[in-house]
Amino acid sequence: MTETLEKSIESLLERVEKPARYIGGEVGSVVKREFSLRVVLSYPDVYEIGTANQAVQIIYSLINHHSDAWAERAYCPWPDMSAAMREAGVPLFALESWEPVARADLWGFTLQHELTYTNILEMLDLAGVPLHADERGEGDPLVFAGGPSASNPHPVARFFDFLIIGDGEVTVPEVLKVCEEARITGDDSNDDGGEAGAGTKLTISRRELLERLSRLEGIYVPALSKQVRRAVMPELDYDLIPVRQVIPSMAAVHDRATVEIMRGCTRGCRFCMAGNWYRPVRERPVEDVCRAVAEMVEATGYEEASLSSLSTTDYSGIKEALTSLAQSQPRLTVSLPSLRVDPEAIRLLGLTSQRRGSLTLAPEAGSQRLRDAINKQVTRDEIEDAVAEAFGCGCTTVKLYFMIGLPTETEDDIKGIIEIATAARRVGRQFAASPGRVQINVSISSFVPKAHTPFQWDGMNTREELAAKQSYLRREMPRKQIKLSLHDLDPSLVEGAIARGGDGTAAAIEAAWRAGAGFDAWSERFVYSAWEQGFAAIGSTIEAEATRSFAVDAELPWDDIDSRVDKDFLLDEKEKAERGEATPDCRWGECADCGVCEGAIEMRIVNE
Amino acid sequence: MNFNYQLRFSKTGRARFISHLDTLSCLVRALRRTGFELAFSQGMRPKPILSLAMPLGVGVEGEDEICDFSLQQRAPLQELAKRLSRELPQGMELKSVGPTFDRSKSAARVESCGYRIHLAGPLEVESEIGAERESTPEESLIPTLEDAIDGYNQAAEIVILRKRPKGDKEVDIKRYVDSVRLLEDGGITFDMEVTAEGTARPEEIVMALSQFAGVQLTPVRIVRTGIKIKEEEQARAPRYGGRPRGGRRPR
Repeated sequence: MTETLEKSIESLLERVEKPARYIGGEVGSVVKREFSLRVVLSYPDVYEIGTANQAVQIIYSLINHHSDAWAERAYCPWPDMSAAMREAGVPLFALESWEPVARADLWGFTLQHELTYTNILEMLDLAGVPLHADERGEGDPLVFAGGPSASNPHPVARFFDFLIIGDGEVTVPEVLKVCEEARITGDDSNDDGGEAGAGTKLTISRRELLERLSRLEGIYVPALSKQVRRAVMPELDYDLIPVRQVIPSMAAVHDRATVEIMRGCTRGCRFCMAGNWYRPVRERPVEDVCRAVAEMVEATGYEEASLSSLSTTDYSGIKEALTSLAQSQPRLTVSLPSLRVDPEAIRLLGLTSQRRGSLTLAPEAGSQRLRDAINKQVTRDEIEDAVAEAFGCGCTTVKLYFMIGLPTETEDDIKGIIEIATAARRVGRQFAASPGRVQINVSISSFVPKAHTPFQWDGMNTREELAAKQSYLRREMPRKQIKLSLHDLDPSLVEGAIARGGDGTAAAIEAAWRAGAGFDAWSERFVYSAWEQGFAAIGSTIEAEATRSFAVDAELPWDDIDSRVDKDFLLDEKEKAERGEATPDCRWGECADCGVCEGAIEMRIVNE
Repeated sequence: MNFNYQLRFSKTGRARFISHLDTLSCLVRALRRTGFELAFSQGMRPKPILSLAMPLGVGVEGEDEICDFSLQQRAPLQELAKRLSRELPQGMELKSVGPTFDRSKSAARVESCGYRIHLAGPLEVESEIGAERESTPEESLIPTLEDAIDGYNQAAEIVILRKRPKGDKEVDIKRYVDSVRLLEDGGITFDMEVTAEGTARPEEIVMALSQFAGVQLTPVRIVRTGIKIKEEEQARAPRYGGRPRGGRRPR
């Protein structure tokens, strides 16, 4: 039976684009002969995107190297493959075993952003697992999800048996334990409650198992949970760094070793979901960072290492870490994502051996007033100094990221974007080795309000407002040496329509998927009309959902998710935003009293 | 100074779906993970010195592929082989590794390669015999194939039309594959010459056989059994002063 499936898969691979997406067998992938539970982990996009995702690598390594369970992977087959699979009756299979995903005990998805949601339905459907949790039976896997977008689980709650709220590193081992206790494996019967047989069997009902899971901290069971508190890992544990990781056999979006140097961010930008959700800041000791980079590079053979975090140059050990890495790994290219707009930070790049042609800075808003309102504490001078430093260091291109549609935004703020771009060009021409080659790329995206942030009550701008702002920029932005790119409004509006949705949104996502939506993050595959049909199916529109604002005293759909940040703090921040008042960074300034620090959960800074 | 090595490996089973470029990066990373430092090319953007004798099409298996690479230091062979064999994806297997003293890359000296292809016929041919359960569908093709191979081997030239984006081109494949042999299990095998002007493709041989057979034959499995490299003349020629590229010969 397995052999026939294998044969059928192979014959499909002869015909599809990039068949290496589906073969598994990568160096670092794990095959277990004996295991307590079979888990499949999924990033709901195509292999080369999904395989670069750190969340899957972390949980994969945690399960395979620190538990008796076996984790496999499955990514969303590209449309040519899913069509071929449907035609041939081949179900979604896991990469390691080529066995149907539907036979796993647990199947987990990472929710990184809303535009991957339709791929989850595509994968469930391909696997032959019922889309709705309440339609699944005893033989079906428990389907779960985690990741940043699980912070508002409601729009997808219907599709999952449970969701992990917060750091999976603390929750997943607990989940495995509860599931292991509820199952018995063929021969290894340390439980006398049930009959022994081939494979694993539940000794209790699915419902009872979910009840037990719902008692864990950070586990949200849509069918049962009333109030769930985010689980937090107090310290970044060295042993949980995925040093031995899967090295894809085909080129992925990022082929590099990634070491998370810090979780959380103290900046307190009011628009930022991750900055509000992953509190408090937990830095990894410098020696751990350097050791992890060395081990990971050795174990993977990558030529590049990325020190990842939400604001890498805020990491208090950054200078030390970069200096030490430059000494111990002279050949290695170290990349620093998410640079703060700060000349000091850019000078740090001199410590990395990377020769770069371009640098990305994110002032986010055009005017000081609006930057104060969103608490992006960067001054005009700092922006100009940073640009000067970048061009002075040999960059020829500086990319500037801004958002439009932020709360309290006026025409002056949009004008400010043009002023900054023009100033950057001027400074660039002044400091660059060849002024004629200076290039400023201005990238404009539309602000999407997210749950658990101070802007969670605010609606998104209407399409008309955003379009007017875009055409103003298109009209007024100077063209010489400045390249303006405007993000499409359609996907942003859809993201906005889902992000603050409730349980009812699930039906819209499902209807959109049935109308042909899928791979929505891929601009060439995004089908707006499918989403229009989707939201029409729940008697609403994309824009009505995206622009909805909530009264501050209204009950929010995600109120049952306790992020550990006080709602009053968020409300305070919202009001301060309206007054254009900043809140100091709690790393240096006084505590803003967001409510997250408690007991062992506190800010951990390595160099005070 | 660089030390030149030649690696022989197989790429079978699911690994046949790994593309040529991805195979190169798998090999580079595998070598990096052995801890022995690869040598880099000169220039603005130094690249590891590593090349394959001949690209393998996606979906084609290779039983004895050749990879040339250079290290910065001499590596104990047993240790290199041991570490390398742990670092290849499933389906790629190290066959041997050793120093080479050739001055030019294998890629420049490919003479010919051998192929083995397993074919399937049209459904009707298969189902006819399927009832007897005596012979496999592949064996049932044998009489058809015998005739087709006779036709192929006796033809003076076989011109096929090769479709190309730049405009189709007529190619006499008989120049490259002179004869095809039938295997006992119903597969076919042949040697394909590789010349400066070009070569044929295994699919084209199957296409020609289909024409002789009068039925559509489909390759189920294409295996490149080996690559023949022309021996270097310079390497054997008497030499005055200097050493062959790659350092001293081992005792």
